[in-house]
Amino acid sequence: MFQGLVSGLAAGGTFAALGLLLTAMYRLTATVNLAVAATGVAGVYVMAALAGTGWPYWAAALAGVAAGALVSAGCGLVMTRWFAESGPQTRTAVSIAQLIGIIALAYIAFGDEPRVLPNPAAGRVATLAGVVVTQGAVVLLALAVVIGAGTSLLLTRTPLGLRLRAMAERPVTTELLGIGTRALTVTVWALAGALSSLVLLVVAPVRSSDILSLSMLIVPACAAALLGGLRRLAGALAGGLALGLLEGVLAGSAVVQQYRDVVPFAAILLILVWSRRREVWDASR
Amino acid sequence: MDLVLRDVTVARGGRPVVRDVTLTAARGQVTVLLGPNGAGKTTLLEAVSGVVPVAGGEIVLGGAALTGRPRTHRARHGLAHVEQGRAVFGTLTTRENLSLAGDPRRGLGLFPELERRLDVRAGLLSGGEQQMLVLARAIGTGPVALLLDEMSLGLAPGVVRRLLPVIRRLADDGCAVLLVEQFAHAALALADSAYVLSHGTITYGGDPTPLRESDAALKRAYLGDDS
Amino acid sequence: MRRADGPVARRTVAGVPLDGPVARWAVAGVLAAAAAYGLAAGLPAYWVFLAMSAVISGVLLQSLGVVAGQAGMVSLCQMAFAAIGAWTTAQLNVWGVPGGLYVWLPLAGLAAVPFGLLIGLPALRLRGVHLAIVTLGFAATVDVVMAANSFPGVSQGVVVGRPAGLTSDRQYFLLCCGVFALVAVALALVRRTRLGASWRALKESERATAAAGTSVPAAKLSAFAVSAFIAGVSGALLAGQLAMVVSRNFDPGQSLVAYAVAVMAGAHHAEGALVGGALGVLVSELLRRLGVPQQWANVVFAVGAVQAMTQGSGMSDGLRAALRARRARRSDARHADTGPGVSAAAGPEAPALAADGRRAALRIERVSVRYGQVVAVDDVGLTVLAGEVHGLVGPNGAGKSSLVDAISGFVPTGGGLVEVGGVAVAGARGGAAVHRRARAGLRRTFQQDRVPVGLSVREYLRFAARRALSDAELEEGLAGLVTAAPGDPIAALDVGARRLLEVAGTLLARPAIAVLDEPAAGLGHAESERLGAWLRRVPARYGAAVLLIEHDLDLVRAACTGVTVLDFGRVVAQGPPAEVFAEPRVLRAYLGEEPAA
Repeated sequence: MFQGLVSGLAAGGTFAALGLLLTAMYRLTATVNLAVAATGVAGVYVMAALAGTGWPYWAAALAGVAAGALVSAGCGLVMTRWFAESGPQTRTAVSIAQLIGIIALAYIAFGDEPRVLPNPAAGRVATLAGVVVTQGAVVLLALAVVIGAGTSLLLTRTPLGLRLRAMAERPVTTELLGIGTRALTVTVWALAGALSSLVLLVVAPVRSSDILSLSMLIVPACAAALLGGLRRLAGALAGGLALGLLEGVLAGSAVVQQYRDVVPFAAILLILVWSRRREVWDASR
Repeated sequence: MDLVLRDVTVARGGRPVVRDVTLTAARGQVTVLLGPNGAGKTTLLEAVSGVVPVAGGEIVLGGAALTGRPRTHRARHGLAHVEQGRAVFGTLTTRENLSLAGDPRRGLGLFPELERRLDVRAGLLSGGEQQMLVLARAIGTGPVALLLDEMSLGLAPGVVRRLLPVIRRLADDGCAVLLVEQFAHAALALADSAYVLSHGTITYGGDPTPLRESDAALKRAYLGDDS
Repeated sequence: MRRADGPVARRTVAGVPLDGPVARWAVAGVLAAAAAYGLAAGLPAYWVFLAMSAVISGVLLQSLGVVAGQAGMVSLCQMAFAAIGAWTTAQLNVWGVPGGLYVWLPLAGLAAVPFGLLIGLPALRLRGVHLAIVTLGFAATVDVVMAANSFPGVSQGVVVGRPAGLTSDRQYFLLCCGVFALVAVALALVRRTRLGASWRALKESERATAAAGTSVPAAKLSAFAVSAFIAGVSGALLAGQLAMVVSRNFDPGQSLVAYAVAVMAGAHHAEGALVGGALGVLVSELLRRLGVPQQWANVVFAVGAVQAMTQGSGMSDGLRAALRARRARRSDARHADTGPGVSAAAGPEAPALAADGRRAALRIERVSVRYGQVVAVDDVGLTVLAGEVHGLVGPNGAGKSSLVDAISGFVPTGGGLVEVGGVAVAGARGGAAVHRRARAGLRRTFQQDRVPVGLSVREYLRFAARRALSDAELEEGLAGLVTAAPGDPIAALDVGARRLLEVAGTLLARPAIAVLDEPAAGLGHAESERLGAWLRRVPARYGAAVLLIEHDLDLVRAACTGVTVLDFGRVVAQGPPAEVFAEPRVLRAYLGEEPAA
């Protein structure tokens, strides 16, 4: 049980961090960006490729983060260029296409051989009751908290955040005040790509090096985001941690272990149906 | 600077809802655009500020053509649009709403009653306060032309009486004000010139005095021909 | 693709017109069958295998065409349904259930149906992005379960057997083509029913679907059930093709790709699904021959899907629009005028109703609507007699639309009474569902354009009327109102025409009371006047009373015998238009208070 909880920390941090990104993006750009994990994967592979040619890890990682930001900004550009007036469903469908495209391009650029990724956070931080707490888990938890708190501070304390909140609420009115929303939107996308790359740089070495399965981290991330109703950052943070811990505990039992990935789906379904039980009708009037 | 519309046509869903509208909102004047609901007044304002595209015609502000330019460009050029329905950012505080537009003090100078509501979320303000806020916000952009859509909608008459002198003062300071109203009497009291829009076309344009003095013309525009 | 055929001399064979819709279908069927046989006989074995894959994926894409293309719900779990179908097939094979694939195919489809319903149930409350997330989660879940439990027979090395007559790939290819065609024809037939129309109506607006008397839950659940069935069958076909399937054949990534291809190709039409399936195979094969990585295919599909979404339509829509334009040009050359004559005097008039002792078509009492603290409608009562056209007017924000929402069942009436033709549909203990009120004879239109663009004029009118309509009835319903031929796609009409089409459909349902919400919005002065004259004769022509919500008071004066004026949610005047509009307080409601003089 305790071992399960500790081993679930890393997963929880990952789900929470990605869930936070999804939540922030949905609030600010009305898109459930299903490609957000995939942009991070692109960053990881750029890092791996550069590290393979002899770059020092930190330089390669920085370049990876920049690459993730660039890929994501490209996706954001497509959104603002052609889907600025579209509804959330269409924009989310576009992000599905972008997810497919990024995965495919990543396979083309980097091949589908599993590779060993450098892991700077492999060391142990502490041993609690015989269970090892890795640096990775701690870093991921910290990342999740930093992303949550940072996003919250950015939105409430900075002029950029003020404009972003205005844009999220009334994009047309914002433009009528002379504030360009395109650049703002692309900025959000780029930031999300950079942060996602950062998360995946830590998580990929311990979880998997497969492009597809890393990109599919979006599923538990969605569950985490939904625990916050796609609106509350704290909810997404808590939801992601809870899901990770639950997964860790379940992994301890041999019977349910192979089904532990079912947990996010069950969580998604229950939360959604309960929270939206009164949503009998679609758009108002 | 004058705001001039020449032969402006606006289509929605493939059908023109505003046809060949020509009007001038002169610098330093309050120009009132009247007409029954559904006549196309809001659509016309939206075309001027770039919320919807025009199907034909020209929009010129102070000699510079705005037609086809993005909304943000028009706004930076000095065009402010106060949308219908009190478009406050409800999750932002009054102060935040004002600071989006630039210097909050300019608007607050005209509406000092907003001072004590600065840290209240705009969604929690009363209807009158919200209307003051959007007006103050628009003034904060330092507009040379101001489009006002249905300012009195759903507001108590007392509040409307509070807002109208501010508009007069703005015009006196040199702003070109184009005021769209369904409720004609209050607006006419303020007008330097007036237009009536009906079924998407201008049916009256010019001196507001005849409209002020007799209800007949207005009645015809609003309640139809044989009343 | 049917359209009104004008009175022209046709070439016929045994009385069947060569250029009629039936003939077109027959010719298409014969050509398709010939093509399938030709491919089966003529292609090299390797290409037969590829063609088989293309057709099977075409079947899967048709399943997406139903739920995503027609009903507009994002489904990212079609491969999961297919996996369930394949798993069922493998299990039936291990058990040796008699009948072989011929029996297993439908059983595999049926096995997927409960899962379709399982996803459909939350879809009753979830839509848009939330539904996308749920279906993606379901896809991932099924993948996990399938990976944990190997497919039946795999560990023992039992392969899925094909029955006699299907053993060769060429024969099996023909079976796949047959299944594809069967699904296509079945869907084409469903398309003509109200059920099929209700799917496409859902995509436009759930509210309008319910207001047309169609149960939204039934439409959503049936779309998911049918889609899951077809996807399950495609999984079974795949099991038969590959003889042994594993969970890798159905990973969630493929569900995503299938969605993108369906969007790109326009899988809601059979030819779109086939093109999508063929592209999937051909692009891969082409890349393989060029020595280019296979993954470029997915890049192509991703770009194609984004491109299709910028257009708002897939390849099959473009193709059909082009064909239609060509046919229209040809038919224009033959006879200039295909549309119905538009005249205000068309249509026979029913005998006038007796002036007194009439029943109330609509009676409402004490109806109130509150949104939080705001009272939008305050204790309103009004009666519309049978045979009457009654106006409901008032300045913006007076509560007219809220009242209409309350009458039609979208918001509670606050305990107020709503009676349609003497039957209560809402009262102190709540009210009937929207679609039940519609079926009870209370129909409404919407202020916003809510007419489903995926339908033709004929399909829409049948859907709205909830009954079969003869061509004469169709023409009569449109006459004097909308200039459109029954075969025209609604997408080709402008917004004003769509709103009038909604009025036509509402009246063809012959309701007791038709509530028309600003039908004249966006019309010019002359058109608006014509509409007024037309509306006045609605009770005589359709036997329906009308409650007309309108800002254009000329139109109200022309159409209505009685008027109710709302201001700040309350009734301020009621009576004949001439008297009501002369009342000072009505003028005040419209023009605002006189300045204190």
